[in-house]
Amino acid sequence: MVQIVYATVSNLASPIGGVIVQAAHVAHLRRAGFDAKLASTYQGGLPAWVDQEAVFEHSGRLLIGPDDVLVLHDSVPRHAFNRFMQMPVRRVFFCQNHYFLGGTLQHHECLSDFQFDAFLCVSEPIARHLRDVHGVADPVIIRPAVKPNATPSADKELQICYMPRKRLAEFGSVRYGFRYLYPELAGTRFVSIHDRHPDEVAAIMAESAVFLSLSRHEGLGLPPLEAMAAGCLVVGYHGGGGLDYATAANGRWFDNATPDELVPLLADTISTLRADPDAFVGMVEAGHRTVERYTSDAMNAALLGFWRSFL
Amino acid sequence: MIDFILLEEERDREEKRRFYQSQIDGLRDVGLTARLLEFPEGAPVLPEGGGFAVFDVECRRHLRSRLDLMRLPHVPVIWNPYTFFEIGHMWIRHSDLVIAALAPGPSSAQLLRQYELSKPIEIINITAEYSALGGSAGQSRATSGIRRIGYFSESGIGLDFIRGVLTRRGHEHADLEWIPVSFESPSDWHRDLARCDILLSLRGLSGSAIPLLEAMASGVIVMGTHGGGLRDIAGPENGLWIESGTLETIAAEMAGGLKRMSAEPAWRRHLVEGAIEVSRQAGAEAVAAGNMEVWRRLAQRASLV
Repeated sequence: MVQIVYATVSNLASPIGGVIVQAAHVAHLRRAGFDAKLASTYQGGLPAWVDQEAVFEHSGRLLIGPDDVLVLHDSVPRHAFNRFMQMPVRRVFFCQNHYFLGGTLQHHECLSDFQFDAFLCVSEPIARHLRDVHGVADPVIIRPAVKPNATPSADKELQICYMPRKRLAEFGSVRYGFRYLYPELAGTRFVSIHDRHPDEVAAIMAESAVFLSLSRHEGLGLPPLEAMAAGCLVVGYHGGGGLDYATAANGRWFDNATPDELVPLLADTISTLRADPDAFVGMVEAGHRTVERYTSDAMNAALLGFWRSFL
Repeated sequence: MIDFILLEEERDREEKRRFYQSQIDGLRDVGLTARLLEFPEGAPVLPEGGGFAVFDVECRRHLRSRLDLMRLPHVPVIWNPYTFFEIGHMWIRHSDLVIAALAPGPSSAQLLRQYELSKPIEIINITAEYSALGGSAGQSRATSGIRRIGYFSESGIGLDFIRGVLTRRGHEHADLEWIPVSFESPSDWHRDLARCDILLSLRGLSGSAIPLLEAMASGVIVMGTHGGGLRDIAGPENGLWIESGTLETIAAEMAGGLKRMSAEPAWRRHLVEGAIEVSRQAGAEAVAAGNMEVWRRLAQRASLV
């Protein structure tokens, strides 16, 4: 049987969103009868934080032949990229973050210059980039699934959950702004989801009325989608790739290079919700409808559709 | 005597050194004395004779014991209002040695005054004597083709992405030469900036923008984001300032700007003239009177401690 080998990163000690998506592909494909696996030089085997129906093999022990398919990711170091390109296999490029491609390719190089048999990606912004900038004719979008484990609380707290990691200074501006520029909002609770277990993240989102999105240079950006699924009103940055789902109808999106206007936007959101908890019901409902595009069934259909046709 | 203190581990040291030196020169011109004290890592040993000390607020932890021990009044400069939250600042409120805090520009001052620091917030114009290539060089740039784009060497994935988009897409800009520049090395900076027609700025959040102003003074059009450092003066007449933080948008607006400059030399000349003019208005000489008045007030306040 043809092997489908998703090459992944060498350090799998901590959770990485892109690897979770790769593992989800592998697990879905295996359930459908394909011989799919993850592979890298990581010594620790299949990480506990990915779908346990996926399979991991150390790349040093992997036998791969001309009929097999190697699925490259977007953060491959150049020396490894060159080695992969010389292997006598079929190759698929799976791009989850187009902003990282500069780490592998020279500025004048296009992905279409290389011998790939197909291109996969996770969002329309990436597909557009591959088409318009890299000359890729027909990238296939396989949107990842948002886990449906965050049932919105019937009685939401007027609190703001957030993931600060990529925009610490912006978050600091917001916190300081709330404390000093809007003293009437100073008591608003901010709850970080950074480094929390997924179940805990889901619980925090389920009880929070607002998610402050601090996305930056994302290929897609799952936290805002997870927040929409949990019934949060999303306020903040779409991070580029979030334009796959961000619209004026489903969130109060912000895209300025400086956070000066983010503070009043969030303050206005909280003040409005205080006065009328239902003020953004339409926006939250639009968020729910948005997330319906990111289900396990939808991902499965796109994934299997691609691989059945490709093989 | 005003002591401007610069520590080895500080960020943007050259920018600060240029600012402090311009103030020392200006103070000398009006009969006040000041000196620049540079220290390696660790607790600095300040010489006697200082009237008050001026330093980046983020350096306070290195200076605290020394300044307190000497009972030397001090004035922190809040160089970067966007990262001010990262440091503890109860000492500004509580120390009787802190006679004021300096905000980089009116917008920052307006914000910082609402932070209830319990000390006067003075507005200081962060500027320098620009070693401009001069108006004539700017004018000649405005009439020649665009061949070279400078970029700050620490620009990271943003630069890689934008450069990749401009170089690959349609090959229209494929022949542009990209020149890494670094303000931290003055001789390299002047040499490299002189070669640039455009400076791509992807500056992170900041309260100052001396490198951008120097580029503008040299007739080099700045494209990109100023990170807040020019929020009071950046406008469509003096640069291609891009509000968006999304790299695709920055790349697209930059591509549009380059195309328009090639098609409309008059627009390009207009931008160069606007850039030179605004850098002159923000230059050390133009703002000297306002800044010197601030230093005088602070000296008076320090004498009462």
